Amino acid sequence: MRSVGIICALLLIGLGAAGCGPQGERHAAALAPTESVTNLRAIQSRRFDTVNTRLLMQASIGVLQDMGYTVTESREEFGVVVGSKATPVPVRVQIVIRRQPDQGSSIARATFQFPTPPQVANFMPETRTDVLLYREFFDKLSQSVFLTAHDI
Amino acid sequence: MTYKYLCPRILSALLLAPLAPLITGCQMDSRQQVLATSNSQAAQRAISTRSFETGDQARVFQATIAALQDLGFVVDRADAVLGTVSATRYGSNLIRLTISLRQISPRQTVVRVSGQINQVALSDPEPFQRFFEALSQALFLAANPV
Repeated sequence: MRSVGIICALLLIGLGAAGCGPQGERHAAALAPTESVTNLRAIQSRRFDTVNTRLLMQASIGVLQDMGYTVTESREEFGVVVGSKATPVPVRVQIVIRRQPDQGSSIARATFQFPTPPQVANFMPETRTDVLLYREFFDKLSQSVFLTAHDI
Repeated sequence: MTYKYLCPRILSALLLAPLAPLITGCQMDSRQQVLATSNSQAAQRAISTRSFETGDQARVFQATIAALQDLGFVVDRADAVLGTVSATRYGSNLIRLTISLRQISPRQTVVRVSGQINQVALSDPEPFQRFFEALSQALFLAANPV
C-alpha cells in the first residue's frame, strides 16, 4: 500500500510540474505558433478570382447566416467579419478578406475556434486546424459568393 | 487512513481521464455542429430574405432597428457600411438575430434575417414572416419574396 502511495505522490508531483515552468517560458509558449505558419495559412485560405471585396464580405456574412451564426463584428475597411454560434459548445469564426489587385483576385482566410472535448467543461476555445473543416467551409463560402452575386 | 482510500480513487480517476474525450466526443461531431445548415443554403435564403422597393439603405437600416425594438430586442452591434445588425432578446427564451441588408438596385434593398432560439437555428418560415411583418410596418413598404 505504501508503494502505491509513493506512486500516487510522484504522479501528482509530475502533473503539477508540467504546468510550472518559469513564467517567461510559459508566456512565450502561449504565443508560439501551434504549427507551421505556411501550412496553417494554406489550410485557412482560399483564393477568389475577384477584387470585389465588398461582394466577398457580403458573401462571408451570408455564409455565417446560412450556418446560424450571429455576426459579432464586421469592419469593411479591414475586411474583417467575426461570428459566433451558441451550440452546446461555443464556436467562433473570423473571416478576413484581403485584396490582391495585381493578381486580380482576393484571399479569404478563416479561423475557427472552439473547445476540444477535454476543455468543453471550461469552454476554452482553441484554433482548429482540421483540413476537412476548412475545405467544407470554403465550399459553402463559394456557394454563398455565387448566390450573393446573383442577388439570392 | 484517508490517504489509503484516496490513492485508489486518484488512480482510477487518472485511468478514466483518457476516456473522457471519447465520451464527450460522442456528443459533438465538431464539423457537423460548426458547419451545420438546417436547409440547403438556397432554400434557407428563400425563407429568410425579402426585398423592399426602395434604394434608400439607410432608411431600411433605421427601420430594421425600429422593428427589432418593436419586437423587444436590444441591438448588440450595428454596422451601417456593410449593413448588418445583431440583436438579442432575453426572456423565457434567449433569441439572437443577425440582419443583413444590401441594396441590389437603385430601387431595391434586400433584407435577410438569421438567428437562434436558445441553441437552435431558426429554420421554419413563420418567425421570419413575423419579423418581416414588423419591418414592413416600420417601413410602410411591402415585403416581397426574392
